[in-house]
Amino acid sequence: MGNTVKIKKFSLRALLYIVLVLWAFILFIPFAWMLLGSFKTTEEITEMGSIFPSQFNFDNYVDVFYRINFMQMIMNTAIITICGTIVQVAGSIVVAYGFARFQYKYKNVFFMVLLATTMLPWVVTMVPSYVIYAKIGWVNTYLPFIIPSMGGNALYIFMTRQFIMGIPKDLDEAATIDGCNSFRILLQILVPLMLPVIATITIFCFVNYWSDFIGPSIYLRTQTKFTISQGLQMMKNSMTERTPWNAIMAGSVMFSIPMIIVFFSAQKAFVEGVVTTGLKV
Amino acid sequence: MQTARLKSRIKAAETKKFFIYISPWLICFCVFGIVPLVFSLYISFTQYNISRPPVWCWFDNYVRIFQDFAFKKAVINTTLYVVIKVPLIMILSLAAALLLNGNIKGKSAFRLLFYFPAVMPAVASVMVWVFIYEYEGGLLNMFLGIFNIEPVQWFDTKHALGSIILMSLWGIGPGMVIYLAALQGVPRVYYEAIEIDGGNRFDSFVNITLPMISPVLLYQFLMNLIAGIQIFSEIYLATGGGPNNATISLNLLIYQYAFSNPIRMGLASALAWVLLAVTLILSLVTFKVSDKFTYYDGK
Repeated sequence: MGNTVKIKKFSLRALLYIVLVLWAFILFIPFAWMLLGSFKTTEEITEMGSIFPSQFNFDNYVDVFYRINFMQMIMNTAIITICGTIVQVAGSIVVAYGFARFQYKYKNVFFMVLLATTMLPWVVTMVPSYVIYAKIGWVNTYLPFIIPSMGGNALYIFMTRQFIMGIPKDLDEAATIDGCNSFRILLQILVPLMLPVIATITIFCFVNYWSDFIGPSIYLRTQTKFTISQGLQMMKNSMTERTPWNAIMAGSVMFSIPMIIVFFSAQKAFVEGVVTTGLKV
Repeated sequence: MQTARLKSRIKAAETKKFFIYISPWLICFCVFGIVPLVFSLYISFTQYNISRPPVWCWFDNYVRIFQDFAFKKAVINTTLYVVIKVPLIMILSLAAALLLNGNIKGKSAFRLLFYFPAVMPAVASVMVWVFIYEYEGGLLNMFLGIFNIEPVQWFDTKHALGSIILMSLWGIGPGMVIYLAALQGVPRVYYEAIEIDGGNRFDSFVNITLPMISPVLLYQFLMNLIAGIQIFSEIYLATGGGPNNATISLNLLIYQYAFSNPIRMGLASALAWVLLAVTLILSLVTFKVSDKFTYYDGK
């Protein structure tokens, strides 16, 4: 009797592990296919039955830089990402500080409005924003990605506010008595304590800017301004020949590397951010 | 008297500081949020192609949308996408979370692997998927070839939408991580109680786990719903809405109205407002319905 229960339990556990391994393997296939594709020759990518490339050389990785202005696109993406991240993180911290530490009768109303903006579909403001930016000469510049970010991002403000509210207010009060003004309190007392949440929102910001496709595809018009996202799309849509999948895969690998590095090096902050914004806002 | 005045002065100073610190958001919200929103509502009642001033045309755009065949396709496709994808991705992420919630060796490694597809930039992952779906040399057709199944055109009118949905099911990572956190928040004593009462695993899942994590499920449902209605990049990159509007979505149609020739900004704005209205109604319905089903601690 006891034996059958044991066997049943054991086989259930075995089944569980089989399911997990199989599932993980299936989820990993696209990434593996991208890696394999990036090493294949032009013949191999259209050949049925060739799963592995015949040799591992980096020809396609070099090829990307000749096909499109990839170096320029990396630089452009980096500029947008770095400037946008700095501006958006700074903005979010300042606004979150206001919401966390200062009282006002209708504060909650403002906060609700802030959170409600996350539900607003982006297309609603797409057309008028484009028109306005076109009129003031912002189209085909990086300003649409940077200037509106000065006010922070609702989710980051929410996360940062939660974090600041967890820091005892005694610290602020002690500093006020010592003659610190509120901005110095934020900069010298709170920010050093807020590093975990700052790390989280910085990572989110970085990831969003780096992988953004919709923004650039609307506002950037000339190839010299393009980001990597647009470069990959350009290669896919090139009508001149068969789709150069090996080069696109090589480009995609290079495009993914910063994201993968960020994810692995800051996994904890990353997951924490997903969880705090995902449970409830 | 004195203290009252002092109090009100402190209060005024607080208010001033509050507004100073939230001013970056407040200004950006007005300039880049409210102004475009109002402008968009105005454009939606005009004929506008950006190069010439808008011409007022009352509800023409709103009427014309509903006469457009592409709109019907877009509504059907977006609905199908949401109705199929949202439940599937939620079930899959919850299943993954449940599997990984137990006492499992290599839990963190599995969690990492399950999350991994969500780390790739959207464009890179769509590229890989289109490559996987290729007719010649695509992995999926190769795989089917093993079972002697004829290669399939994965982006023809019959299969395209299904292919788009299938590739979206790889992004279970964020949902899984959220549900894992929610599951960890369920107090152990509840499970012990049901064990004493002689309930099995299924009982405890239905009677404890689901009610306890229902607020999270609801919130995730809403977020998935809103994101699903706005499906854009994947379709834009993979098929561009084709072939023959087989994969056109509402957002993609708005984009086409606004930026493809002939430029019809008015039509685009009108459709955007219809989309906003639909989003709002669905959110409200979700909240209303959920009042009956979700359990909030202490309420």
